[in-house]
Amino acid sequence: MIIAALLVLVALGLAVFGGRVPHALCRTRWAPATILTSWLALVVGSLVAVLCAAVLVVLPTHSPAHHLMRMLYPGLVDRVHGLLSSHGDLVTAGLVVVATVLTGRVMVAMIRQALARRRVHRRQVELLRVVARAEPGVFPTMWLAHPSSVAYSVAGNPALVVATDGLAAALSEAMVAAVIEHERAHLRGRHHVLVGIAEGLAAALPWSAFARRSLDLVRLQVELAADRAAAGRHGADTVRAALLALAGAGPAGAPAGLACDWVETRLDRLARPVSRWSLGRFVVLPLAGVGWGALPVVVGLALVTLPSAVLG
Amino acid sequence: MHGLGDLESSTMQILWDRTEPATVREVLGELNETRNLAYTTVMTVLDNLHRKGWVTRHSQGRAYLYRAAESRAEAAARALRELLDSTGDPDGALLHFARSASEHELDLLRRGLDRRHP
Repeated sequence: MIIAALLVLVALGLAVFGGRVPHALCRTRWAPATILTSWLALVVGSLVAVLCAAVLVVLPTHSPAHHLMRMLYPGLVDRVHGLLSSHGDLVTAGLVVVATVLTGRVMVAMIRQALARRRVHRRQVELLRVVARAEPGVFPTMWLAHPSSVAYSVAGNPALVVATDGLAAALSEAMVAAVIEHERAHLRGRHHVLVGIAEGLAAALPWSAFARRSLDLVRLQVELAADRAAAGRHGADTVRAALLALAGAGPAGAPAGLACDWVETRLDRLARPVSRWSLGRFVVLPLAGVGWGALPVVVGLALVTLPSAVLG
Repeated sequence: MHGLGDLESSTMQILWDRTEPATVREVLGELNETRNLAYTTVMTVLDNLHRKGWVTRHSQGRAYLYRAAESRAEAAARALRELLDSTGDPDGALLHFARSASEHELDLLRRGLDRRHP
């Protein structure tokens, strides 16, 4: 019961008190891919932790977890049980129920998100295949004869990049290539799925600051990641120039912060030189991030699956 | 380009390039310059396009005459309006490179409304 309680408290703790986590991740200045991986590990780890806790609660008392605790801390288990009395078990069970219900909500929201994305993709393809000119490639670019400057990507099968002739006219050839490469990076990196997960989380847990701020974190980081990929192939200056040209001025008097948050951050990041490979940045920190998030998963799975014979 | 229904696309290109309406047989002839399609296939394609509103038709004797419902430019504009209509995009389906300030504001307003009235 103690392990189940710990697992659930970590997961619920993240949802309730984890409001600072997204900002902290952002401030680390890790590579966007690292931040996204760590965030995903945290979220998936928490969801799995809750499910493992639910299984532990349902298992009979002579579960591997129970045996392990007795083995490691023979006196502690009895003392804690004495302190908590039977109410402790009830509280734990209650928390596990709450956490499981919330996890269920999150999963339903994510599935709804995925289905909605598929509907959008279908409609996009239906319209594009008639009015757009297809430029073949790994991810085809669908060109629209329209004067506006638009470029976006649609995930699905087939995954597409969509751009307008207006964009090609407004930018130099190099800048257009950089923009298209940015969109392709979104598709290669499966960023739409990540954003979908963040959206699902925010929809299912609207009261959670962690969930709300995760949405902004993921949206920003996927743009930074795609910018980085495009800059790698076409140069950071080209991407900056394209961003400046397209972000555009708002209506007169529009507050600078409103629409330009990410543009400013993105421009800033593009202006810095990309740090060279270093053990800390590319090995230790990513492993730490993933490991941290995966810990509940590993602990839960091990305790649930190891046969009690092994643990005596 | 599999999966992108290039028969529908090619058919529309043919109709947009023409000034007068076409029969199924005329479209078949043009398509079969580079393919080997059956009459019924092209008939189905035109029927689908008509059902979806891309083409109009009127009968002349026993055959239908098909023409594009709007000009290429008009069709592109209409499609683009729908493609970019944010109410049809459940956030995350489309990732834009950069959006103008006004588009972003509209988006934030809409999300604010969605959050308050789920």
